[in-house]
Amino acid sequence: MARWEEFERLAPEIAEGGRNLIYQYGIGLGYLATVRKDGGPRIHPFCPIIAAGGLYGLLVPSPKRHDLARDPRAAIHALSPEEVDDEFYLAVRARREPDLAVLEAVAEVYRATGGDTNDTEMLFEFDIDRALLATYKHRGDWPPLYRKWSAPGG
Amino acid sequence: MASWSDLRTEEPALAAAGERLLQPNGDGTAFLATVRSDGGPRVHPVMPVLADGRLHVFVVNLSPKHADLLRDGRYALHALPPRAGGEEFYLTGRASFIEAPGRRAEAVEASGGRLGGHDFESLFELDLRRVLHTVWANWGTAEAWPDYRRWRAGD
Repeated sequence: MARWEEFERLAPEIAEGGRNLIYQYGIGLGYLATVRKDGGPRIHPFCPIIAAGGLYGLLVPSPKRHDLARDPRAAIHALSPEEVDDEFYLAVRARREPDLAVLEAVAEVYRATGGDTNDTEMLFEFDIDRALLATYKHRGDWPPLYRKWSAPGG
Repeated sequence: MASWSDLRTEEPALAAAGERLLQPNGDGTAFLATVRSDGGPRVHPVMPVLADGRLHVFVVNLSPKHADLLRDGRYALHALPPRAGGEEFYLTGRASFIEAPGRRAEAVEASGGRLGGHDFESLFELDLRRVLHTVWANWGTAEAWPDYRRWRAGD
């Protein structure tokens, strides 16, 4: 597993492409898949935040937050661009970050992109196991160029 | 489990919202979560197709999510947020592999020929277990508040 800054150092092209897709609409946007209590999948949109060398989510009380507290395995996918189907996918493990100074630093980055915060969020950092960046020449192009990365020792 | 037509019969407004937000004509994108072999989640975009009152997706047969769906059909599907924001549409259930050529032809036609033209695209029907439509009041403000409309298939 790797923090975002290590991923960025070891796979800079994939990380740059991923960052661009996460922030393509200004505020970070993506889907977060988690494991339900019964083992089935759950998926909801959320706002990934790249800050302080990590990839984070400020999560309000919700089923997905309970999922992560019980089973840290998660998957993240950036939203698709409107003109082409480029993809950025991460298999991650979530880790609660209880340090309020880190939470405030991440929240400041989030607010600078237009996000709102309140006092109900918990901060989770997502450590990266695997990354996939798929880029297409145009809509309908197949197959795309796949670039994959796995964390050392993962 | 239930089909999309069951949702239409029991909760037509919810079904209409889903058809508006999912654009299940093979030209709308939604995100499909599946269960990996190690039990963790996976998520990738798909293009839903509504044909003969049933919801489908075509999935490339060499993709990891194809293997996921054959091994453990449980899925979760989330529509893309509309451009104006303020709404979400989410469903869960089980996917089943569809072999019948007639069913496949209907799905290809319902996609306007955009999908299913290659042998490597497998057809899955998405049976419904739970449906959730969220409408946010005061969207885009700090006072945003969700209104949930739920449906659950009868056992």
